[in-house]
Amino acid sequence: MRSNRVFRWTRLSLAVFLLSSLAACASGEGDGAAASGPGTGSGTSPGTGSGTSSGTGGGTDPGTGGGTDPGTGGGTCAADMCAVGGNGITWGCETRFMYGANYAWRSFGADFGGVASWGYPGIAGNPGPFSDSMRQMKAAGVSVIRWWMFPRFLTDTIRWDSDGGPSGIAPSLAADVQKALELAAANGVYLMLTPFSFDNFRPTTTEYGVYSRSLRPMVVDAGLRSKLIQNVLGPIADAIAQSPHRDRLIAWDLINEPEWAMTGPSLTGDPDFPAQGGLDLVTHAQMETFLKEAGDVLRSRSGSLVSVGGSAIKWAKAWSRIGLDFYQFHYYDWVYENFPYNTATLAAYGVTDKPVVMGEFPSAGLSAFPSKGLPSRSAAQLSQDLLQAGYAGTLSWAFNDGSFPFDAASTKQFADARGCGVAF
Amino acid sequence: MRPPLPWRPILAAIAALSIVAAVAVASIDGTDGGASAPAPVATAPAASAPREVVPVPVPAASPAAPAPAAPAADAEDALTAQLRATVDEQPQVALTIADQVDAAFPSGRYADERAWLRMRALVHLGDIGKARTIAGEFFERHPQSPYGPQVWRLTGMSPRRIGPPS
Repeated sequence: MRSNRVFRWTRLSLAVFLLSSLAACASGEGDGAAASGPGTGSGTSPGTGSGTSSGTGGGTDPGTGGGTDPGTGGGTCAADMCAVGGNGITWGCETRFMYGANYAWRSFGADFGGVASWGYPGIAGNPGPFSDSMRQMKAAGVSVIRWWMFPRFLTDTIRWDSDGGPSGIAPSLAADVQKALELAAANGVYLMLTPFSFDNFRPTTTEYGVYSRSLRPMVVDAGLRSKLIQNVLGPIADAIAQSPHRDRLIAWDLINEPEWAMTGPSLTGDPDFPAQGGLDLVTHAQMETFLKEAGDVLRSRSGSLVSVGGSAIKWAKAWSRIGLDFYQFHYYDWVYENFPYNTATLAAYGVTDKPVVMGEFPSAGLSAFPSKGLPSRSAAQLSQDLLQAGYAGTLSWAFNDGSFPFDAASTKQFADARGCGVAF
Repeated sequence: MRPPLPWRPILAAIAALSIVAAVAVASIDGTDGGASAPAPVATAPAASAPREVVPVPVPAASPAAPAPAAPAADAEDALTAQLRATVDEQPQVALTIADQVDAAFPSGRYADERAWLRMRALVHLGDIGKARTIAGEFFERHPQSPYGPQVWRLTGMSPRRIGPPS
């Protein structure tokens, strides 16, 4: 009963939020940030109709803004004077080249919920450093931050049943999620949260006294999968929906690079999956089922867009059947060498039905491959190339990867050159 | 009394030098040393010139290295040089060399560089799954290696620091 009431309240609040967002767009009030919200149609069915929130993709017709009828609802949005010249992601009344960076975490697997036994508080327990990071990213021209949540199950704020399935989350985890949104609003940035990663498929083990479960059983077993989605993702989505800053969550990136934890043939005509060593592997069908169910719940209960952080355009169609709002690929030297974007285009790989964001690429840029006629590219150059190639956004790796410094100057260079078309 | 001869490094050196000779012959013949042909790469044209050579930091030899190990060290040097020379043009040959030199010198001075070269060869051959598996091991075994940034930029793998604050 209680959960039903919460769910109804959530739906109601989302509907109110959507209607108010549309009204704000229509009146042109606010600074753009306040007027943003899920770009759905009538406002009565949050999260439905991905096409209304997404551009057309494909790299055609630059200069049109790319998105399809931003905000929809019969022209309720004021003219978007900053619409990106090319493809973009539509959020509320704005269509922008989704530009930003991967945070990707402050403490791996511990930001959301914390890890008490290691002395890591969650975001709400120590918000200062997180806010500081956001401020620095914003100063470097970052508009959207991709932030990993549970790349391993380490936090003690996820509760577990004896069957190995999650039974729920602690209130402090919901508080962390809401604090993240609040900090994003305070610092003028938007978030794309990544609940999982291929890292979750490491075999169950104990890490410095913390029992860390493999995700595989929760992907392949229908009962455990339902518990994960309904008892973890659902309440987190509800926490988003209940936040006054819910517009700050543009999208869910359901999982980072799932292909590495997959083996066997593709169901969508792509090459076989790579079966990276040291992981509990699943099939394409198993991962597809999991991501479809997870995405449906997150979208319907939070109103945010849904995507997947695909490893590379090599598996371009892998997530084409699960109703994503936009696609993402990642780009490192191995992709540049084997799938250069000047020939491995979105059109050539048949990825023209939805916008495509480059969700990771090295902040340090790409190496040259002279034998293949591929020059080195800085982060700014690559973003410019990808914008021209029809991509709808770029997010570099990474602000806080201590091993590889963040190139704030190159990040800012592109942001300054493109102006408001790359900032929500 | 004369000290016993350090047979193991000597035998390793002999084995290693024989590998060098075999690889040299294979290179002159234009063969790949009997290994299978490289797998086709999805959309890339066949390589006709070497990839841009990234400056390779060569670790300094340990000043405390005992004299009897010198032949083995020389052999490791020679093999690693062969590995560097073949990785872009003959990646399958490079993998064979890497297997053999790693067997002869499992904890040699250039173990991290060889892992990096092995990843490059695998990427040339289109086997990113195996390259990333090695990348994961690389960051565990060689957390301070100067090749870390190059491994990351090539494979997208970055080290994960898990555990309480140090």
